[in-house]
Amino acid sequence: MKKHLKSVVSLFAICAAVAILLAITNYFTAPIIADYENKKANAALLEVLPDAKSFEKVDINELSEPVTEAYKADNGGYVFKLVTVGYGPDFVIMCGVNPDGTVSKAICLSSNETLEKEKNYGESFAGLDASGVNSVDTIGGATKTTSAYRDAVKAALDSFAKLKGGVK
Amino acid sequence: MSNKNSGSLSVLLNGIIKENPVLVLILGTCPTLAMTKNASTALGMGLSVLVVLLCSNVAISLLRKLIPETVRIPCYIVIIAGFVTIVEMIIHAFLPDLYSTMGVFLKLITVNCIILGRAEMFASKSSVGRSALDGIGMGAGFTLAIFSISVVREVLGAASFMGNEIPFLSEYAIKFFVEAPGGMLVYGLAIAAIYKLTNGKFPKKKSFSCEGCPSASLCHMGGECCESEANAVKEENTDAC
Repeated sequence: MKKHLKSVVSLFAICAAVAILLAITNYFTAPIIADYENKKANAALLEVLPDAKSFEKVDINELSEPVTEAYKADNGGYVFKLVTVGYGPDFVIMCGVNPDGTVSKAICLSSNETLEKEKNYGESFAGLDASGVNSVDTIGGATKTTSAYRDAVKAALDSFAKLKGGVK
Repeated sequence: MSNKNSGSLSVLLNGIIKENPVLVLILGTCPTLAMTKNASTALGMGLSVLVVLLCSNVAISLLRKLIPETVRIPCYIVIIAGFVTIVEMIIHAFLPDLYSTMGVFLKLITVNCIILGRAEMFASKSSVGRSALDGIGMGAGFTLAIFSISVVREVLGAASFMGNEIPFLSEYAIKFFVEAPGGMLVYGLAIAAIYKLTNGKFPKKKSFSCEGCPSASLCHMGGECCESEANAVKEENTDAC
């Protein structure tokens, strides 16, 4: 009993000490990381919809996953931030949609994919509408990643249609 | 005193060539193949592993008499994972471009067998000073190995160095070297080069005991594998003579 208790106490103490160290590191680094991610997201808005000059965040209650954020641009287009699951979790994509309902540009902001095929795959969707996006091929050997990417872009176009058609 | 100093020096230099974790012990092959397309990424990965190795070796050596045998592996993994997460947060905050390039492989340092292997084989049985030297030596050896491989792959495969294009080579880039088969080829050639450099000297017989095996704590072979491997080496050495 004493032996088991020693094991439990030792493991608990080490876990507690590591947790405290992590909390301290997070306290100092979290604001810096949040600031960087915000700047990256703002730069990403302009990158996927370069014709726009300003963006306004819109309510996403009418929209479903994987849309997590939506921005209306001053030129009538929209930008959607989508978080989906590819081969790994937290597959974050930013997709710009032109006022005519075609994809302006799609980029991957961050991912845990292992083959890095998502880095350039977004270029395949530029200028396409919903039916065009459906016909974009996935990449062999990275079908989970590229299927998730394609589905995310389709979701962005569907969300655009909902927002354009159902704005109150 | 001089014996002590030479012993410490040998611990430090062990990981550079004689027991290089990547090219001699053949450990950490996943990051070696995945992170060597680009020299700057390889350098970042190598230095991250060095810092984690140093910190985890020191921490585990400090706690070696307090951690019970029954929970030693979970304790080591918690310590290693903690340091990896700290390094990840620091890189994310201060080197965000490197963070996005390294991707999931930064988190995967936790399961890099070099780190748990050295914790189990060395840090848990040695003083803090020697454990620190071992961590630095192994980390430096890992960094040198993957940096060397990445320079070859990037120069030949992408005609660039550390992301900077080499103008007179750009027309002659052989993309094969930045793909997986090219990585395997360069890795194999690097192992062959180290073999030649060390005149094909195998680790000494005593290293074939269970004590010298990184998997000793998980193994139930009772030394059978070590014996057959040692016999195979003995036969080969006899043939070479």
